[in-house]
Amino acid sequence: MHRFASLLTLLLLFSFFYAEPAIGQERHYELSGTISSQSGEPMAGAYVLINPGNKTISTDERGRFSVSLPPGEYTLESQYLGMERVEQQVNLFRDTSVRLQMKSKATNLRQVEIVAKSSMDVQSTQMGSTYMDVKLLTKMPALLGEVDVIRSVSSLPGVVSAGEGTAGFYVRGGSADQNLVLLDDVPVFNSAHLFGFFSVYNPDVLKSYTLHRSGISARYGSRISSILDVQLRDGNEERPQYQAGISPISAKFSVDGPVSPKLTILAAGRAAYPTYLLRMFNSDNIRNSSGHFYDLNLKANYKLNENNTVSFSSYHSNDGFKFPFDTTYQWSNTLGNIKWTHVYGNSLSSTVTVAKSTYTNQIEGIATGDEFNMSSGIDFTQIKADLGYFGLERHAIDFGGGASYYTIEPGKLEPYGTSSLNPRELQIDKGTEYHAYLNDEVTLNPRWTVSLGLRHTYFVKRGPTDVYVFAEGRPRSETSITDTTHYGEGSKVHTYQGLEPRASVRFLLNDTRSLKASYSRTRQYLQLVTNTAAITPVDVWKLANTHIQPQIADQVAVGYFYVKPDNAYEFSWEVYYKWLQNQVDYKDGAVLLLNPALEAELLIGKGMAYGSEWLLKKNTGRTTGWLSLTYSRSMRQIDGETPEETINSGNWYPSNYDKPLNLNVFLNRQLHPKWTVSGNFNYTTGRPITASDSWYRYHGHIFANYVGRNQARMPDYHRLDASLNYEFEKRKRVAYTASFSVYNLYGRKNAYSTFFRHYYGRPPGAYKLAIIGVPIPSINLNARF
Amino acid sequence: MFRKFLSIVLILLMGCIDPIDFKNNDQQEHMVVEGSFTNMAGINYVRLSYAQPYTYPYNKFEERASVIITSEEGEQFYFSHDQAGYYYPVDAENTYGRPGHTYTLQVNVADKSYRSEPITLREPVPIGQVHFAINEKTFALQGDKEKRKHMGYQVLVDFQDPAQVRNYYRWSFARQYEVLTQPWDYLNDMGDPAPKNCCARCWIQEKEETFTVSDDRLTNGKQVINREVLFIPFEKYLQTRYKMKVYQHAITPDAFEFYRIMGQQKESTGTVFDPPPSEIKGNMRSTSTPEEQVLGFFDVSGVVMQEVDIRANDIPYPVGIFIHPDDCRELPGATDVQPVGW
Repeated sequence: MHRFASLLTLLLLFSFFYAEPAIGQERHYELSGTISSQSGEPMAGAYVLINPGNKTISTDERGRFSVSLPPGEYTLESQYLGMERVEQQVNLFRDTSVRLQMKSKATNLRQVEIVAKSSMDVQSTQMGSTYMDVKLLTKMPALLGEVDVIRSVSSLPGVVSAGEGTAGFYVRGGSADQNLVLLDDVPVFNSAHLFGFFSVYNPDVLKSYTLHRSGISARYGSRISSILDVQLRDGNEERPQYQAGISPISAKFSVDGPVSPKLTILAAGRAAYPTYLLRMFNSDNIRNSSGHFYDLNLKANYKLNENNTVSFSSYHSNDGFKFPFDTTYQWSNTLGNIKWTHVYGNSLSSTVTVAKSTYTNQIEGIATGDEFNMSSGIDFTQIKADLGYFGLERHAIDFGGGASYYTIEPGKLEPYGTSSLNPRELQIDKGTEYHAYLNDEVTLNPRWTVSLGLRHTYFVKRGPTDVYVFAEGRPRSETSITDTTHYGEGSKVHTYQGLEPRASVRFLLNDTRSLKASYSRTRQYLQLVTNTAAITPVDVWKLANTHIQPQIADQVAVGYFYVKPDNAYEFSWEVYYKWLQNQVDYKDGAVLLLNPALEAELLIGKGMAYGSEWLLKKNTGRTTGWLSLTYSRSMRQIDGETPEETINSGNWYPSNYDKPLNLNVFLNRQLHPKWTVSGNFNYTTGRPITASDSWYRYHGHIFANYVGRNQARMPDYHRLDASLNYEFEKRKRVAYTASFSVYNLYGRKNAYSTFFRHYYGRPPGAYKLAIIGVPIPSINLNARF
Repeated sequence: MFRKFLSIVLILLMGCIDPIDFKNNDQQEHMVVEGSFTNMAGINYVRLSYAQPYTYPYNKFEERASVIITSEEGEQFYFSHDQAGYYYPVDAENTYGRPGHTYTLQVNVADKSYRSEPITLREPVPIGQVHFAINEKTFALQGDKEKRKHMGYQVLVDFQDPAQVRNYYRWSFARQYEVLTQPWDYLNDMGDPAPKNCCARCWIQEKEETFTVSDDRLTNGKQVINREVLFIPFEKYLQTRYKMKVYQHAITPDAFEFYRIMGQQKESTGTVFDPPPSEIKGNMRSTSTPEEQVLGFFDVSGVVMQEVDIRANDIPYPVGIFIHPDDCRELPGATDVQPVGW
């Protein structure tokens, strides 16, 4: 670890050159503080406007802020979505700490308008990131009775959904596994429930999410496309609060509140029971099938004293699906973390986190002669420390480091009964990723702010493992293995390391407009090996090894940002270009399940992506919403040593994630104090597909002949959703809300995929499969007391 | 397995499949080679046809080719055109391969010539037994416009997988069965009754090649039981009696890959859980224009055969009646001449 220490020192020194000398200036004092809600919940990302000087800073995730100012009298003003504005006068003649408490507007149920916090910040150096509060999220139309984080993310600029019925999304031309999906800072390895119609986030306990897709802070890493940082609420400090909700196929309940003045908790549960709907079908196969999921959240927050807080957040889910006489599937996420936050004074704070996330997956075959149990999964453990230092004038320094341990079980097959299968167990895939980072945000002068960061990652692929040596000049396959080297338990098999520089700069044109630019390099040592578009329970995570090099992305982005002074409108325009290394594609007809020589099925190449994103958003008034437009491309080039390892003769071809045009419109209108209506429209260019040039007959069946890869496109995708929300009169402290929504209002049969085939009685031709081809209505009822 | 899950989701959400208009201007004709050569006389053939653009809905066969199979050991077998693109050996009785010999298919069409890779015929693996189990399956019978649920027999094969080598298998079938139809209920093109006098009882003889393959990746050296190789719906096939020859082919790893990917694409309905379709590379090359795309596969395999004979009376399940209001001789491959020994 001394390597990291020296690096950090170097970086720190480096950053001092950017600081303007403070000599000759009058003495500054430290103004620090915390912003919390009435219930004591810290307000992360709240804005503090300090006058005179018109200085804006935002709070960190613990609701803290700190700024160094010349002595004088100041007015602090803070705003937050759904909260009353607060103001406080401060006389700064020594280092001072303040506490601002905001009153929730939500207690006033008859509010006429929703005020959304702007989703970006003109003042900060951050770009390519979008913030969304749960209050806005809940206004979006639902599918099967529930609003969803992942679906909402797919309506942001630069993001497209992997397809209906999947929880995958593609950010700026990257694959679904290049997104780090977090739940309270812990990675989630399968965010889908019921194959993606629900996600792991229970909207009742959600606080907010932020999607970072460029200019990613050095704090974050381990995925190359984006970071989806989803935060859950803490229990409130005031009184116990209960929430319940029900829809035709799911129900949920949550409770939160103080246990003692120092301890708050939050607990929530959710379950779906579509089985009774399956019983209504005629087919025995469907009637005898069943499915379910449930998930639980538990959070606790304990304030030891003014300077120490310990918090705990956990999540557990279980999904199952059964086919009669054949196969049952079960998958489960269990994850959680313990955080200790310590404040060392006015200028230094630290958070130490221990996190764990496990994802397991069981498939049981019950057909006679083929009985088996198959299990696979991933076990992730992380320990890290994140520190913030505000003591240096004009600098906001974040630094930290940690280690993550991965243990992947790629697949274990255990036959039983009359089964003629042989037991088979693939070698456990183990690795450790160490990281250290330092980020310094320097305010050079009121117009220029620079944020410089450096992250270093060091990855060790560990044994036990067999490393295959493949014959030179022949396509890699199980039959071209010439030698095998065995590595024992815990031994270092291969190491990778590299620097990930991050930089962003902000130039303030005036108080409401700014220009920003950023560069970032990200590295990824873990990937999902999948041959399908979705993240499915049979997909396996795979660490980098001797044959699979880590993925690397370099991105440059520039943008223009404008927020109207009253926050009524905001506009942003960003342009980016990305270079990608070691991108994975698959051989034609690759077998991925229980394959010990998996690397032989992979093709490695490079990629590039570029695009332009526009976002126009209205935050106040009776009508709110946004319009986002993206034009982007995503290309790959795979030029292997043999024709079998080359795609499209080694030319650039559009990747599976290339959907050039993407338009999203979301509008929410307060019709009446009790009624709101909202609509969401999405248009996306069709995904590239491998098209067929001709048909032929073989063994009496008709086949399509495909040449090359991804040279045609599916029909364009568009869809309109609408919902109507109603707030009932509050009775005896119980507040009811109901919503009725229709997904795919005009019943567009969007192609999930296209294929060429022959149906009896028709000529052979091209067909499309639509997963949701009709409007899907749903209704749900929620109570809060 | 996941396809089944999705079909359920599809029905739940009323998902659907619709035709779309695909413009592709550079559609071409490609030579398609379908060939099977074994150690058994009488079942070896080569079929030549052309892949067609989607605007051309008819089959096109190559009927003027010269077809020859040679071996590194000096054998030569000539094939001549019969009908519908099928080429059969000139000397059928003496045309068969030997395990261990390496064979090549050579096809010449006008000034074009095509050649397969040399393939070594593998030692056949004996069938332990062939048995049956009643089950239901949803599919479209030939001539049906919609998929329907059919009750029928699963054909299950047991065999001992040899331990010392990697083995790959495929199965093919030749069957003979009696069909009963209702010519007296015939309706003419106008939809008016036009009863026919003949015939209600026919025999059909046909071949069935499937894409079912198996390997011993997970079962090496084991007694393999209940390997499903075919499904026979009761109606049509099991009105009275059904005789079938089951051929078990020991195939090469390349043939296994080819049949596996073909089968995968035949089944693919483009769901979330299907791998995207891709080019299927066969083992035929054009020697006159190397960049020409040639489709299909020349399969050389060691084969064993077992014959089964099923009578409808022995099936512990009501088989139902095959509704076909027409002269049974109109069915493809049907004859009203009772086969010898029926």
